[in-house]
Amino acid sequence: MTDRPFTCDEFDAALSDYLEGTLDPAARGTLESHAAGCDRCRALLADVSAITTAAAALPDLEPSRDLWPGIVDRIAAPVVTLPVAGGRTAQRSYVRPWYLAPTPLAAAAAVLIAATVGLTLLTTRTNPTGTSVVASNPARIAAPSADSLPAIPAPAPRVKNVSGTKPNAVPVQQIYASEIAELDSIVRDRRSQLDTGTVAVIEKNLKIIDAAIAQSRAALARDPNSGFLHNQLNDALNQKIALLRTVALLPART
Amino acid sequence: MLTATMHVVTTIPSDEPPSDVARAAAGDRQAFERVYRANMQRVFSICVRMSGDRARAEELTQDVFVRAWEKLPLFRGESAFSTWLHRLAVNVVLNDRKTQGRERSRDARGDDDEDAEESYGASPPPSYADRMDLEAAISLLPPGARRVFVLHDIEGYRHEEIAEMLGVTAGGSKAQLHRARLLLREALNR
Repeated sequence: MTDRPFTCDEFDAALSDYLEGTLDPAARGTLESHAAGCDRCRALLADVSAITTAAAALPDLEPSRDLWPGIVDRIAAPVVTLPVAGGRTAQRSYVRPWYLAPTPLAAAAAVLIAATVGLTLLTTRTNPTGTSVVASNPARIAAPSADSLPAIPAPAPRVKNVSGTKPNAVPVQQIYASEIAELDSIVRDRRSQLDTGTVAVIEKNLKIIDAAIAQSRAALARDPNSGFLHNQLNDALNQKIALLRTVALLPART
Repeated sequence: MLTATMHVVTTIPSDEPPSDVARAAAGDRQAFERVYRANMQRVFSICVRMSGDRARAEELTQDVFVRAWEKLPLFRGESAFSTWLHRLAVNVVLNDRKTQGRERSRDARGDDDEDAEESYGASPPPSYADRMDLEAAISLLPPGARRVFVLHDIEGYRHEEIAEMLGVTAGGSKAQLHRARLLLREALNR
């Protein structure tokens, strides 16, 4: 910069860059030389350095109350479908998940899943046992509008106590079978688009789930009144649907 | 058999279980609560220091996490989640200022008004009669200087980033930072 000593005004002007570490070496030396010989500027440098150091080390603060209840109330509120111009509908707060590539297969899967959610809800609402579907995120399983991808990432609805041997179980099992068959079809078409390593992992997991389903059914045949086994079977079926859904919506390999 | 299904579904595309962030992005509210618990203090701190108002900061913190819930599916993992969340918090606070005008009256006299510096140095708050601590001194900075100081010296953003967030120039950000540091020094040395 210059070999001329700094004035106090020049020191002030260069101080921020000095603290940022963006002052060139020559100017740094000039500034430090000035500070060494000037009480006012030496004190200023010490104080401002101390402030920046203390600021960076300030501890995090704690709110006076638990804020979570207010948050969960808001995120649990159902999506309100609003009419918009042109007869279409719009969902508040809809955002497309990052992994949802807008491919025809993804759109087909989306339609299938939306239909499945509706069917499953309908079925369980009429379940004479009084059990119900528990959707962990109702806001994200609202029915999609025709021109948008729906909120796919909601976990599969959890169907409780509605497995194969209950009075209303046949329709439910048919729904499971139908959904799995259709998703299977989509996934078969998708395999060539996916990384071979990913396909291997998918195959491995599907085998595990299928084994669990088969074993649950075999156990239920021996003990048809076991609620535990019914839950295990339903969990396995739901996991298979969730896995197939995920695969159906995986982005193609790049 | 019964344990065989416990780790499936979560193994795509690797064998690693999904993080709470990934689970929350997929709609898992319990996972999102864990995300909230892990990040709440930091977000609240940003909101308090940026807004200068603890009560408002509690509302803003809730707004941040509601927005985070809505936007999580868009989080691509290109930056650390904490970085993404903190930037979201900053944006929520700044948007609050713009849309609600809560600081408008203070900004009008404080952002670029030299009188604000005089009043800042001349009238200590009653609870800090002798010597202010840094936290209190920051809260009393003029809003423009406070925001830049918080973003730069506490949150570690660069002037170029601050300029983009606040709609000012990098030079303006530097000037506000210098002003903030001098005001803090004055307050803390009284």
